[in-house]
Amino acid sequence: MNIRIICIGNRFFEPDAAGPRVYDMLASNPLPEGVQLIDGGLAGLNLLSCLEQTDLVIFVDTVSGFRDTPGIIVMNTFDSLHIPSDYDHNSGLGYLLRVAPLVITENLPEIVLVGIQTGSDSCLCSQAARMCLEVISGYRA
Amino acid sequence: MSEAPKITLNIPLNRVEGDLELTLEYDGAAVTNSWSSGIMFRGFENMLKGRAPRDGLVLTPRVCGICGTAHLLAAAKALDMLCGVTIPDNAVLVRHLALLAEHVQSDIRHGVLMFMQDFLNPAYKTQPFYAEAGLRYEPFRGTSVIKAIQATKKILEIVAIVGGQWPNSSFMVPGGIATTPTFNDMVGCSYIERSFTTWYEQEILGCSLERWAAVKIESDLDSWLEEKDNHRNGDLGFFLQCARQAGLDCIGAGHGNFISAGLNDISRLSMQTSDGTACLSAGFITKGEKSDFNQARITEHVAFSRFEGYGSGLHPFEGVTIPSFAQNPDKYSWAKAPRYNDLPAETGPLAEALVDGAPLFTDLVRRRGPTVFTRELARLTRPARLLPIMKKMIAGIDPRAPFYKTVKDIPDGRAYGLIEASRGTLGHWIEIQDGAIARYQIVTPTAWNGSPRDANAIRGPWEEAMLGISLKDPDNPVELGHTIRSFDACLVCAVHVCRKK
Repeated sequence: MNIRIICIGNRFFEPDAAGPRVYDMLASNPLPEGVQLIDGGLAGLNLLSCLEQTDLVIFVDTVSGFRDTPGIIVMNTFDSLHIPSDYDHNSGLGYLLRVAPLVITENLPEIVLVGIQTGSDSCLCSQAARMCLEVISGYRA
Repeated sequence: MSEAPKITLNIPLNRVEGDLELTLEYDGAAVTNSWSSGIMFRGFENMLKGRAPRDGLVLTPRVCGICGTAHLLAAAKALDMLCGVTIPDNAVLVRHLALLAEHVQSDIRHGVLMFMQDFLNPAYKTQPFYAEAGLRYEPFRGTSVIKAIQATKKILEIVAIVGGQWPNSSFMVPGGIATTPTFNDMVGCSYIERSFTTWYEQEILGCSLERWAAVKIESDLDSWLEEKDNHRNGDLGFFLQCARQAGLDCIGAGHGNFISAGLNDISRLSMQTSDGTACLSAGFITKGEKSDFNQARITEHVAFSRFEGYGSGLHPFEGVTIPSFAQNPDKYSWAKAPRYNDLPAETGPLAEALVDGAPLFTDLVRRRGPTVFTRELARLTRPARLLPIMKKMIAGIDPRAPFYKTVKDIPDGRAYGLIEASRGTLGHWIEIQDGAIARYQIVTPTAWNGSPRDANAIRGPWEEAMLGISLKDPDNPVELGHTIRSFDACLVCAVHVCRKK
């Protein structure tokens, strides 16, 4: 069983740095067997190939508008996500998630988003890193 | 007779990368003046100061979410120069193979996913192409959209193969590359290139690369379009029909100055395109005359940019990047204003084709001047020039030969790396003092194209390209969108936050 954790964001722009910070935390410890950690950066649509030949993909990204207070959200359906109606060079995770089932027509993996709302403080990022591992445990169980 | 009242339009533009605003004066008949504002301060140059010399290899690819390979190559070339190393031919080939893969995916995504979508604008509801444009380019549904995403996903796998990592491949180092592609890797790259070329011929061109290479003057273009249904039905043929009906061959001229830094390393390997012209040579064109490219003639101005001022332009080796937060109505953009010989210059696929002497574009520009039509045509057909070069590169890589020449220490000194990125001329200038980066200046393609005015109050290329455009509906200025998009505006470094609906 192949699993990928793909952390999204811009480590040089604080409001968008949570994903890369989770990446650093996860990278500093051994991961369960069969789990690949990817620094997705701002690759957007260029991450499509990371959704191939894998069973589960966990995206970690900054989110906004999902909670009244800072915290973590986990979702595996994306109806509530704002999806840009147009493509541009900025098209991020929302566009990727919308377009993936349209272009990867065979063996699309299960996709989970671990979202971090408001801020990238180490407490929230630690929580998100733990959540990734819990999602993996739950998936394998 | 009294002058018609001028109105000022403030236009935030969608479907460009980053944050761009245009302010225009419109007198009811035509745009009479324009100001282009990049509205985000980035400051990568300042982040690099004091860091180890090799840090630019890791940091600068993050300047842009989509041109990481281009920044990596520019950074590596600057360090090559600093070390005085001539890298092995194998490394030249692998580096540029990855870069050209990035180019062709960018050209297709921009053309099919961004530029063509403007033909769905309600302004064209009565045009004969409108319904067909919807079938092809409607987001998430259009037949061409889905195929383009699938094909461009695949071509980027070349970067993953030769770079050993995806995304954020960091395989270029001073002295060559840090990976050692195998024979099987080359077989994989060859398969991907061939598959993409077949797709490009069938879906975009509607003909073979060789047939397209025979289109050398404007009348050839008309004959080619008439020749076969396949030519008219490909995305290129459809573009030709839409663009002419929309009048895009009459707008968006600009200054008529063009710059290309070229890819001098592949020139060294005598790579030529299928039409027999050079591929990505370096040069500067003004008033129709081409001259040799010399990076010493590049300066950056800040008279109208939100940076601490200096009199006129500074060469990037002397460049400073000190943001100015003082209220100054003259300073309207966070982009600097690059100039060559103190002239603004357009860069990108059209500039490359003209500097290379590509006959079709030389003819089109001689007859009509640069236009939105010519600029986008150059982008949509650049893969036809680059794919045969990629094929030769793959064939030229010898997995048994070295990919790296040993480089130990990075000495103090100054150096630069200049290349053609997907959107045009990209330069990194680096100065090392006492083993650390003392100065790092980056001049991006969009800094050239989207620059504000310089110390001589001369407009930047796309500011100039706006002049004279007549708007059928000032509330829906689709003509301006076409014009900006023909430059593939890319103001980079945006925030990617998933928002709730």
